[in-house]
Amino acid sequence: MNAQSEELALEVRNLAVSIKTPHGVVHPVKGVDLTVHKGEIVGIVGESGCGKSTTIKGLLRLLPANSTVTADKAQLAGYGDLLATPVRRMREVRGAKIGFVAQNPFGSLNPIYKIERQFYELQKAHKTKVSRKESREIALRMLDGVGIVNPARVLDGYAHQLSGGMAQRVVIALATTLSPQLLIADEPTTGLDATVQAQILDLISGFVHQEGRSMVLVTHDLGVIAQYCQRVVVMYDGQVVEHGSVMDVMVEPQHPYTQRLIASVPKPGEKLDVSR
Amino acid sequence: MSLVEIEDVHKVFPARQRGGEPVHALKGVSLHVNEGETLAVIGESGSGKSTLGRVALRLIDVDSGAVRIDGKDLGAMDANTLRRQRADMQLVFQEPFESLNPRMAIGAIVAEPLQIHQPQLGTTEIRRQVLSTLEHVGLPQSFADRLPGELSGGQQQRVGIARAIISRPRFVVLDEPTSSLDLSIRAQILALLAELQREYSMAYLFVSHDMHTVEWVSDRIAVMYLGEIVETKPTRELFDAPEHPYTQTLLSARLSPDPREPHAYKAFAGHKTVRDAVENQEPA
Repeated sequence: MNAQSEELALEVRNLAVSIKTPHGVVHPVKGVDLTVHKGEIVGIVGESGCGKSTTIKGLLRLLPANSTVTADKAQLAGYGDLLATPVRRMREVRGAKIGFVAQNPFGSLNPIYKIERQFYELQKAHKTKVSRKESREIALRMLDGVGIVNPARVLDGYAHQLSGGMAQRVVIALATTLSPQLLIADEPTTGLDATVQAQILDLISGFVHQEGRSMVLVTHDLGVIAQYCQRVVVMYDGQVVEHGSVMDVMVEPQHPYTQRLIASVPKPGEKLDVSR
Repeated sequence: MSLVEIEDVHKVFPARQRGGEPVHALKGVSLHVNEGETLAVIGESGSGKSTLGRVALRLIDVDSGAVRIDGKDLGAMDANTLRRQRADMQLVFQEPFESLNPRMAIGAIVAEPLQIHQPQLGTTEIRRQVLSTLEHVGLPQSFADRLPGELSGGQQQRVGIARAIISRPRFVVLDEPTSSLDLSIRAQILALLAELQREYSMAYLFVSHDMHTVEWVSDRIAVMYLGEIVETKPTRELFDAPEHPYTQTLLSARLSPDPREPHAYKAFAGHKTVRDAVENQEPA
């Protein structure tokens, strides 16, 4: 269905995260492998606390200082090893090489800057020469591209004036402004209406399927996995319990946890079985 | 006669800021809920579905129109009569933790409705009923002495349900009762609600934005869009033959967990907003 290739976009081997707490060291992620080919969307699915968000925050080096991230390999195509990069240099990677869309758009947007300034700062941080005027033009184009009806009004306003769906579109526009080759989205549509969810996911996957980009999509929604991802990684208790093509894993799950997860989704046309 | 009847209800909220527009949350909404059935109300955020749930319990007063339970007009009741009536009509909230007092023990939280509605029962009997209700919703009796913060989200929602059913209501509004819960927990809570409904023949008004969930649990569905009910039908019929463009849009946006059933959401490709899609779509 798209330009999927054997060429790797991201290869992670044996990623582990440990966090020092007053009650001892905890290990939310215990050796996760993640392979993303060019042109492909890989889903990470699992329930709260399974380590799916911690895995990607570890990769992006967004975890607090009391945490340690290790891996045998965390190779980003066209860049190098992510974990070999000092944390302070990760700013060059995030935004330009990897676009990140978090669950809560209002956490990603600065509440006291106008939206326009956030586009400007993003570009300024990565490119030395961009005028306010150029930046505004780019921002207008990006916002139009994510389906915002009145881009100029949004640019001149603040985050709190936006609805959840609109704010998430703005975040997606920001995350894709610098055309990163890899997009990482952490529950990008959780809490949004079904219709808005479908639009946002179409937008993101449209961006990915242009020019062989790739995406890691973290979600607990099996519908999102089935409809938007090509491959899926199922996580439980900090480990990958099953991975493979969406067709294989979602249609014939092998691991008991995956089977249980899929069985707990209401299926279309089915009534709730109370007898259990 | 239906257990609950809502007739031509209007509700306008004043503008929140100076110069803002007032919000017409309900624009002439009518529906009824029969004894023992589940009526789902589905719609996008801001469609007025939560307002409707609260209006049905007279937690919000209406501007015009009537809400009746058992033929009795809630709007015409004085405070005392209404308080007595509330034993019969309860609410389960979306955010279990937010809806439980963090400093009250679980036992005390669940006991409150009985203390208000049946104070003659006495402490020992109330305690007995609290423990048996906890057991009934799948919680160990020992939880009575715990605080809400010690419980998981699913357990907290079971407490919310115990509190709602202890006064044996005939009508319960469920306002997105599972949307903040994990998948497998969600299924357990929905199964519990269905079981309790069968046992006590309660009527549910199930407010939700999740089509999968309402298809699973409801007998009938009312679709809300911009403050109006655009379509009410038995669940199967609504899914088989949605009439209103908004219902069609909503159904086409469902994402099946089976990758062999690709979703048909292309129906509103090219439209920038849901509203745009609904208004410019040819009814099928």
